[in-house]
Amino acid sequence: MGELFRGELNDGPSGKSRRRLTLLNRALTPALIALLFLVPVLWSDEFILNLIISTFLSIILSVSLNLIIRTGKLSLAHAGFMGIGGYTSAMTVMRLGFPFPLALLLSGLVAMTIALLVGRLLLRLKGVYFVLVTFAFGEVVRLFFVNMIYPFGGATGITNIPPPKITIGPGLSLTFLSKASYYYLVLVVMLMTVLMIRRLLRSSIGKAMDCTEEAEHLAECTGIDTFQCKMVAFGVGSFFAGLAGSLFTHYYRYISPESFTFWESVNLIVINVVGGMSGITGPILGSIFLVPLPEFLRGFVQYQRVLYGLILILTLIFMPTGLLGILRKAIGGRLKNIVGKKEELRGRIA
Amino acid sequence: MLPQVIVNGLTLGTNYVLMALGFTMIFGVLRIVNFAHGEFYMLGAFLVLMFNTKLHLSYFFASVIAVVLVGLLGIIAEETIFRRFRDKELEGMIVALGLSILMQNLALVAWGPYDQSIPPVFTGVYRVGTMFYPAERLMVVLISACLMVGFYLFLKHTKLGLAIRAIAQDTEIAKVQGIRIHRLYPLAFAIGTCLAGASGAVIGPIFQLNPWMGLLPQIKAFIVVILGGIGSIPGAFLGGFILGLAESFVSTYGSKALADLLGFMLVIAILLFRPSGLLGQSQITR
Repeated sequence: MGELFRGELNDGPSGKSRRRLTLLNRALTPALIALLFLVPVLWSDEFILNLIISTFLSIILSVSLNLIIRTGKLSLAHAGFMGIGGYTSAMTVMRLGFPFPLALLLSGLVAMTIALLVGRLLLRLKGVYFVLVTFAFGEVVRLFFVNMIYPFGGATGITNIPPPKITIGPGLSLTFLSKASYYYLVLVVMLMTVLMIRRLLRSSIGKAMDCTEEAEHLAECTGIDTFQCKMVAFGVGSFFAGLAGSLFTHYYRYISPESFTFWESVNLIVINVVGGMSGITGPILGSIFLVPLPEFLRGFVQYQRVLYGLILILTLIFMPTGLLGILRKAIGGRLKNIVGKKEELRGRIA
Repeated sequence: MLPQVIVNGLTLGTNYVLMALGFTMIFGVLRIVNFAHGEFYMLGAFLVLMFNTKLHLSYFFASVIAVVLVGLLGIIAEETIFRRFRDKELEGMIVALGLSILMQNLALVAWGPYDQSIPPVFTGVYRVGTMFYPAERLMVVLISACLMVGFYLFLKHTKLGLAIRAIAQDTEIAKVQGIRIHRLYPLAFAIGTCLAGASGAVIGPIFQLNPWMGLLPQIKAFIVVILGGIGSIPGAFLGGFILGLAESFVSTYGSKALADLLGFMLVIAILLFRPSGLLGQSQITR
């Protein structure tokens, strides 16, 4: 399918460098996570917290999209599933009076159910066809909410959505109204998402997914049910998109069909491409780089999106493995590992 | 009522076909899903507006220059960007998305977010029995029909058209026959973008212009192409008129909302019963 989608993780660094990387990973990851929990204590600045929350939401969405992309399916309906989750959460909390944790779970489940229903049909389509149809599906989801004035509020959407409230016991409840408290809520969901998807990708199903992407026919010959793999990735990916939708909705306390247009799905793909698609670190890096970027370009609001398009084109032309590829080269290049050599070779052939 | 519905449907259909033709040809020849197709359409319309209102050229003259410019831009886009993504369908598609973002936002910088309109060229309404037909719509249909026929004759009866069809059918064999495909790729891409630009120029006077105007025609083009079979030119004709007529019927006898969803329902139905599209080659596994 092309360089973009080829996972170099499969044949990762060997020997000394692998040990060094593992050490780096084992020590750095917990340190980073600990640091993330301290952020609101260190900076209580609302602006920065808001930016980090947006980044976290983007990480949930782009990492879950990465799971789907890993099976070779580029979905343009991801924002649509996010919208489905958002509306589910808003409706169940506001109309049915469900507690927030249940609504959050339901928003994921509803998105997943719909994904599995349409997935039976869509996932049979090859590359480009799949993209076009998911594009159409995403638009249909949006149009559905635009046209359903009752009960979804049509184009104006739903306002005054209450902040999440978790009741722990009688008379004891947590309300996530402040930026700092919401930060923790999103942080926990984001970490859960990343860890669960990482676990999934490292399991035998994950290996099967990589095989599916790399060589579908070969995978089938070795007894892998590639269709099932795609279904699992599409279902799980959409589940997390639904969760992100719910968190998004209760954060802004407002949802409208404009919150999850086709361009939102495109943004998630841009994040994946710029970050690198061959591992979930890619979309994380992509989110950290691209989400705050507009804030640094405040003076040139008009040119923000122009730059965005330009970055996407230039990344695809000059560094198709994304930031992740550069990072891997930086860590592994000096240690002369297999990956580096392979990439060099690939470069020479191209 | 019925004749009016049919005429409306055919009008819609010609719009859809004109967009879908260029899109499907670009895919057929270059294997690129041109996500920026709607932006070339938008550019066509805006260039007409510019030449018409700023330089006071006549509408027709402005349209010709606009279409030529859009075609030249197509060549530039192919030479600088898309040629690097030969045989890489998905990367090519993503880069087209990038180009789409770029063009849309450059247009936003240049022309602003507000709706603008090209001064009307034709006014008046024709009336036959109980049927009403505005003159400007008639002109849109006539010009579109001329472009379609011209395009069809070009493909069928010129050497260049033959070469393009040969590449679409089998690139390797076409190469063996001595067709210089690297010379034809930019040209085919340019012809595709010209068609998009032309439909923008033609439809411009009856719609509002803004940087996002390309999205809807693009969605329709996608649906049409999936209906007809991606890469198939007769498929684009068939799919376009089917979608146009179906939407016209449903929005008259059903509701506007239903008409919006109709395209997708048709796509689902096609995928269930004839996954390769009405006139396309198989694109499906299992």
